[in-house]
Amino acid sequence: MTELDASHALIHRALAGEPTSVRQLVDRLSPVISRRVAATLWKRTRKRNVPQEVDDIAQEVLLSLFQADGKTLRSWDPARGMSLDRFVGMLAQHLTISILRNGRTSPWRDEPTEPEKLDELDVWDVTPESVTISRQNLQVLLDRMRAALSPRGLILFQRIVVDAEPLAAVMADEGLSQAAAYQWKCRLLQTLRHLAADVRSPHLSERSPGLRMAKRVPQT
Amino acid sequence: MTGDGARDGSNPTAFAAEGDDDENADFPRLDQEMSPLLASVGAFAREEEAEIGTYAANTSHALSDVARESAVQKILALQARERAERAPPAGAAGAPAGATVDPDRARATGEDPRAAAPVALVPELPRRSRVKSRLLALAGGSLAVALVLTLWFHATPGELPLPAYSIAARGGIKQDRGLPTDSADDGSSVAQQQQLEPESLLIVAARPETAVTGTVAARAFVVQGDDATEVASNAQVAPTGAIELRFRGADLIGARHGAASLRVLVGRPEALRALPARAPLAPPALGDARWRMLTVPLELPPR
Repeated sequence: MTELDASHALIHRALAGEPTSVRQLVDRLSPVISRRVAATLWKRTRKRNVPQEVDDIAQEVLLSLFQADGKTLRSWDPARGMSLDRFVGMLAQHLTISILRNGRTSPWRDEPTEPEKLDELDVWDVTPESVTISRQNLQVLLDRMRAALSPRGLILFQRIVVDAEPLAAVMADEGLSQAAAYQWKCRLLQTLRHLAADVRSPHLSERSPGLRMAKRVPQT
Repeated sequence: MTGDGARDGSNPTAFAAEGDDDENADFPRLDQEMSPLLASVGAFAREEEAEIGTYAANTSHALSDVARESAVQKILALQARERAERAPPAGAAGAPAGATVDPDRARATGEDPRAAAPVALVPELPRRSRVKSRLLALAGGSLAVALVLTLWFHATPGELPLPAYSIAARGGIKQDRGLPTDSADDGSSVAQQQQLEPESLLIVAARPETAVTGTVAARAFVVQGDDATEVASNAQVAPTGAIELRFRGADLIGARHGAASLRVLVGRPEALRALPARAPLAPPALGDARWRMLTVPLELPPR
């Protein structure tokens, strides 16, 4: 059994509620999670010695992996090319930023918006000239983009947009058809357009972003 | 995929052939407008990740033992709560037709996924309403988390000795009269035998002789012959060190039949973590008061 297979088997035993496996999985994942949380806290707050805060957030990350019958952990598939450490590190960073930004302990929205509702979004007010954006706004936009993604969408976003992996390889790994990849990109761009318009509207950006996003932005 | 910055050599417009007509019409404009911004977002994310990755590779921060154990307890409580919410109401005459069995859980617990859903063979116990049960489950879960956090913030070194603990259990069924049987807490480390059915809810209370200072936790095992299997418990820890654990009959029974015992280990988290995955068959060595072993004899359904 390869290490990836062993990790996959351990996850399934832990998600089935086997306490020993839960302990083993927590022991296995906590080093990468705590380091990633510490690094994200440093990057976003410039704090270096925050062991208590790191412990708190790392526990939230671990708990979030198991919520809803481990929906998030189940979305990791060793056959799809992303290592478990990288996957969990990505989630740890995502949740840390979510907590820092708006206090949410779950980075996922409860109910994804139906694709048909996309047409109802009034977001066609961004022109090519208006997308020039400051680094500060880029950071806000990036955080909100990630918050609008499902766990699977986050993996695709990471691989395609951030890591710029060859699309054909990602489609093959993730079992995406060309039609599915097209639909996903279309929704991603629509979400980006909406968020960019929002980020660029100071009167809107100052108001409870989490609530506004939960109501209007589709999960991609 | 990132418009002008696409590094995969794909032609974004090729996708348009696959979508519906409305999206086809909008996609080229959308792609042209937004792909440069998407590329900028991707570049910003890469830059930030490089910094975070470098810092993460060079930091030595590790989760403390107390925090790890606290996370484990919270996860087990969450799983127990979610299972209770998903489970059909106790006493229901079997699962609905077509109900599925989680194969992962079946493998872990030794249940046969092909077996029929449990059927109530004993009189129904009084049940709470679904809403009330959920509220109680939520309140219980919140209390558990709050208590765990409270204890965690006031954690003391794991070497502090514990007082003696006694155990009491309730929720088992008296076979001859169909009445619930409670075992009074008589100061013993062995509770009265409990006869279980899959629908039973066994509630075990472990109480210290004197109030405990510092953190305590619990692990539980079903022991039958030489086999010992750890089981999840929805544990609530009181500030005095008393612990209440709840078990579903089906979780304790698994594929077992006949006489067995539930072994509850109460102790300092560090001491419990150091114990082997299989339950120790002997109580702690004389002089080791960091953990206590308590027992509930069980009578499981016959074959």
